Amino acid sequence: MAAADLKRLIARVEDLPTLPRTVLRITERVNDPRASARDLSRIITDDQVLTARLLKLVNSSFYGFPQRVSTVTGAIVLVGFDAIRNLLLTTSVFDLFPSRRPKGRRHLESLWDHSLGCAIGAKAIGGVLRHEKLEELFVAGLLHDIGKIVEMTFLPDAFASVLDRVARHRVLISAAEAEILGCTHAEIGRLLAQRWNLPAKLITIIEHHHAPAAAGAWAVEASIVHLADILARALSLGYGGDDKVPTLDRSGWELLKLKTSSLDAIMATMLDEFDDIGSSLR
Amino acid sequence: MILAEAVRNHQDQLLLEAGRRITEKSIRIFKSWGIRRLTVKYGPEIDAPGEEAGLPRLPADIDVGLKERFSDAGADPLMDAILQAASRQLAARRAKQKPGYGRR
Repeated sequence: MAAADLKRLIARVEDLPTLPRTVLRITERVNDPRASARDLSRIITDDQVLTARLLKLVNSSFYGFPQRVSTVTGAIVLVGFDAIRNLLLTTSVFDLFPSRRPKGRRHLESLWDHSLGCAIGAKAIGGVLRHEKLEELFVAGLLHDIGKIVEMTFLPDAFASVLDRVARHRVLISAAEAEILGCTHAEIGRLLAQRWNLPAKLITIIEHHHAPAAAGAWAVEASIVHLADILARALSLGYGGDDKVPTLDRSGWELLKLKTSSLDAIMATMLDEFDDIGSSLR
Repeated sequence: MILAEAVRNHQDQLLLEAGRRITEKSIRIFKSWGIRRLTVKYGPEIDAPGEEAGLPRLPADIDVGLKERFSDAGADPLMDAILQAASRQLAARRAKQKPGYGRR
């Protein structure tokens, strides 16, 4: 992409959707040490759709609580403030990118399904590694390809050319994006994440999910999302924009210190949770 | 055993060059690509071993699609481990989804 085109693209990022006000208010309250579960509950229950989705997700196999959680306050007490913010972010991003065309809608859903598969995979890998922030990994997986959604929604013609090049030359979508747009979805995703004022950690993971060793202090988390992306593609969970499984980054894999014998259990979890969580988010 | 002739997949990508020792891992890679025959040095031409007993097999259509998706991975052992695990899990899911299994 020529410099002028890239500038135009970046300018269009200003038009990108913003997060719902409820989620922004929740984010503020979560960062307030004086906030209580009841305070958060009041904000959430103002939004009936968000309330219903939150309770559905908290009662899904994602958490696997033995008893049904029927109140928002109960959900907040059980999963914690940070997790609630992440869950609300999760349930909100799906609504931000509507596609009016039937074909576009199918593509969009496939891309979201891939992201969801990656999110579930990141959480499953994090579980094997005993990572402390599983919800954070889930959100990072969910948003790792947000740049593709931006391309599809705001640059539909260029995105169609990218997909055409993928089909004709059987290349990875990143290679086709670099040829046609002059940048990849990872860079565009970073722009959107910055626009949304997401935490620096999340922005870095989105930017480096194909080259996780470059993610500095968050190289482990970027490597987890990188591996989850590959596993979701291997299992055909959704559609990542091409029909190929990219080669695993060796340094990222070594950073995780995972054994290949763990892969079966991780993939089994991904397949089991994909349908259940997917239905809770839509 | 030593490979007498190079083994290539249907896209003509080199899987193992002539003169290399054949290991259990290389046999697994050959199997994943559907290679059924090898030529070895100092011995007769041999068949690649059959499927291991007791494991569910992936239906041919899914199996071909899976290998196609990994076509850029070459003989990378890590990617081979992912391919094999994906194959096992997809086969297990397919087996669970058969009528009468009782899954949702």
